[in-house]
Amino acid sequence: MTTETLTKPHFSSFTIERKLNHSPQRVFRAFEDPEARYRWFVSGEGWEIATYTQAFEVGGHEHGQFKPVGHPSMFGNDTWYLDIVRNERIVNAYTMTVDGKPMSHSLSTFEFFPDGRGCRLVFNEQGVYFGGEDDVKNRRSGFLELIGKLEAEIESHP
Amino acid sequence: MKRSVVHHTFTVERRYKAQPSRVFAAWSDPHAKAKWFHGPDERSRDPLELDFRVGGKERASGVSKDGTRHTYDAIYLNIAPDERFILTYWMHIDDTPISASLQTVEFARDGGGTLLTFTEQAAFLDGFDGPASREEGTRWLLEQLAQAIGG
Repeated sequence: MTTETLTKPHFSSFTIERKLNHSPQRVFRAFEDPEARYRWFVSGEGWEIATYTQAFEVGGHEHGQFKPVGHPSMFGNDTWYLDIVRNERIVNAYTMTVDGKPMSHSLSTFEFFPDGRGCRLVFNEQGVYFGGEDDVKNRRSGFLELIGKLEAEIESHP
Repeated sequence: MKRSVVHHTFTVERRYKAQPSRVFAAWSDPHAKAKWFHGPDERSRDPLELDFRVGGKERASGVSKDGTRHTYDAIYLNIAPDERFILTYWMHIDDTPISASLQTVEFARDGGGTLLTFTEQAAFLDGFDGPASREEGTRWLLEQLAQAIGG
């Protein structure tokens, strides 16, 4: 069985750090509460979600399929949770596909540190990207956008 | 517990006399892999469980001389026969998670033999293991592989 890929693998990594005005416990809740996470992580304006199964637990496997509105391509996400320490850390591996072909494989970590009355969130991703460094830039900006949505989620559901 | 995550990427290259299909099979065939893929100082070892297909799982577990159980679990993410595979694996010592990694192994023709390129992108958890010992362990494993396939 062969995995059909787009180009040669490209290895890269990036880190995003953000100070949030809420405690690690509150920020973590936006990850572990399925309804909250659906709002900020899964759903997005301009995207149709065909399917998304959540399994936020160590050993859990999540699968999602989604497409941009009016666009023929179907994107896929498979995520495996490798380590979860409540309010402190999430480690997962995930694959992104387009029309069934892998775009990238990643190992990502979220760390939640108390910082005054808030939380310092550190996201790190190490990955294999089949679209080269452009993919890495897009992934990084995608996560910056997601962290903005996370902040908005917490503000709107105190 | 004081939590920590250390991120580290390393690459190891190793040449083998055997051709890529033979070297690849030493990773993809459960009986072939069980011959060389295990810890260095084990008192006992469970049979290797290996389901080499995308989404398939793998488990290698053994008890070292100090009595601790070391367990490797993996899921295969990407397979191009005789050329490449990518998996994610995570390690436990007894019940404590010590690392999570993305591992890419590439096989290229090199004269009559094979150039194997092993890239690991790792997150070491809570100081139980680190970059230097993981890289050393990888070189040791790639040497075990060489012995199993006759160079």
